[in-house]
Amino acid sequence: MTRWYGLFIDICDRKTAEEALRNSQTQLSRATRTATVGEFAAAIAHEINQPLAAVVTNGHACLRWLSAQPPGLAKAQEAAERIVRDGTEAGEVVRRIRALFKHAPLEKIELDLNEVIAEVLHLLSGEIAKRRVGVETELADDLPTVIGDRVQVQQLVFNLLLNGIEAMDPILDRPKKLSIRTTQENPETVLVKIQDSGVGLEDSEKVFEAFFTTKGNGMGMGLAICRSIIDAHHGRLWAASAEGSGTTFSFTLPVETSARP
Amino acid sequence: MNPDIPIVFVVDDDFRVRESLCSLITSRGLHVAVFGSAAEFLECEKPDKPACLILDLQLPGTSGLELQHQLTNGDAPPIVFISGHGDIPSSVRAMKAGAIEFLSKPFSEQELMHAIDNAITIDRIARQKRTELAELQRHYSLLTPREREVLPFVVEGYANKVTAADLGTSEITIGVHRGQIMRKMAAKSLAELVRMADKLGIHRLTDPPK
Repeated sequence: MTRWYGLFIDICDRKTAEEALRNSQTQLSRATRTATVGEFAAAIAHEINQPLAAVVTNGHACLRWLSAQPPGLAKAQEAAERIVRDGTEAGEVVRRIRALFKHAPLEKIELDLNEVIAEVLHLLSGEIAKRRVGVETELADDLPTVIGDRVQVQQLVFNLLLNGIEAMDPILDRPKKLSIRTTQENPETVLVKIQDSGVGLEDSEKVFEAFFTTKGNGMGMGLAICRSIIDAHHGRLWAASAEGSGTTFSFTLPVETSARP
Repeated sequence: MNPDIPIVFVVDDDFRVRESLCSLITSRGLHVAVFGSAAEFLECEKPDKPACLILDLQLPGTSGLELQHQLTNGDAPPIVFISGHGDIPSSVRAMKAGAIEFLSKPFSEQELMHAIDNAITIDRIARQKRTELAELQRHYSLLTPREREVLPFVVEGYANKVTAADLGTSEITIGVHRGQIMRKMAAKSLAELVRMADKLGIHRLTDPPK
């Protein structure tokens, strides 16, 4: 985090160094978050659209059953109940998006990383299908839970997966493969590896800097956000690139220990 | 199941979409069968009645476009695509491959029912054509090998005398074959027989008589 200090020092000159640092983190976090929130929201829009489509169709069905001769009251009631259920769910998705925008303090809870990965893969399923990416997962069965903020960890995984998917865009001559592995690295940490079959990286450290991008239309924010999230969670995040085997992004998060005997 | 009531197949991985479509389509007096994946749809035995398929573009496993591709041969029902992404390249591909309509979720009842009605009308016509062809093929199967040999001469308008000379038999025998062909094919006129031969794809004579 300290390396971002310089970036915002000019607006924080009245404050003490410590205050300035804290402030720069907050501001950068806000800036970087809003930069990719568009991408994140686009995927989530699909999540809202599904229940919304069901609400509209159920609404039409409900009206049909009511106007039938004789009215199909039981059927109309079922349709109305589904409207309530699916409308509530759409609202829940919206609530989650708004949580991304606002500066709520981290809400650290027990998280199953396999579950988070499955959720994010679901969010990205349209993108994965559209770009014809083959996804392989190797998720450890007995993975211990970690501590983290659900929304932030979701965004971390989302950014890393989307980054891998986009990194393979130039590939035309071989299959695009994204593999995701989770393991327990040691008693204290869980390790997640996300490997793409893209062209690899030239500088595996520079990619985490804000505004650094290799993509024509990228903002250079995705991986910087990942690092800020990982730092806030006391984990580690690094990238490794090998000739011919694409890039592997790895991160660790601390295991939740209080629930253990 | 009443064979006159059309059936609408729905393939969508989202149970909420399946439930709501099931209710709406039933309320309009049609039969519905819903499936969560392309594989489930392919496995199911389809009733013999006019049908259409409402297909979600994004499906786990086999995608909507892939399923459409697999269904292109044979007597698959016409397809109405639905999508939550509304991405233009996919909709263009789907329409080019013969989809009836491409609806972005959420869609109105009117849009949906219009697409379903169109699709079912198209399927009715296609089924009618298939029934006619099957009937023609049944009639054609009654012909003897010799009658099948004579048929192309008849439909191309050669006189019995010319046909007889070419096939090395008598004019009277060809006359008898001709009568049998007309009777077995249930053709009321030569013009009708010509149309039947056309539908059956009876090839023209490769070596016409001089």
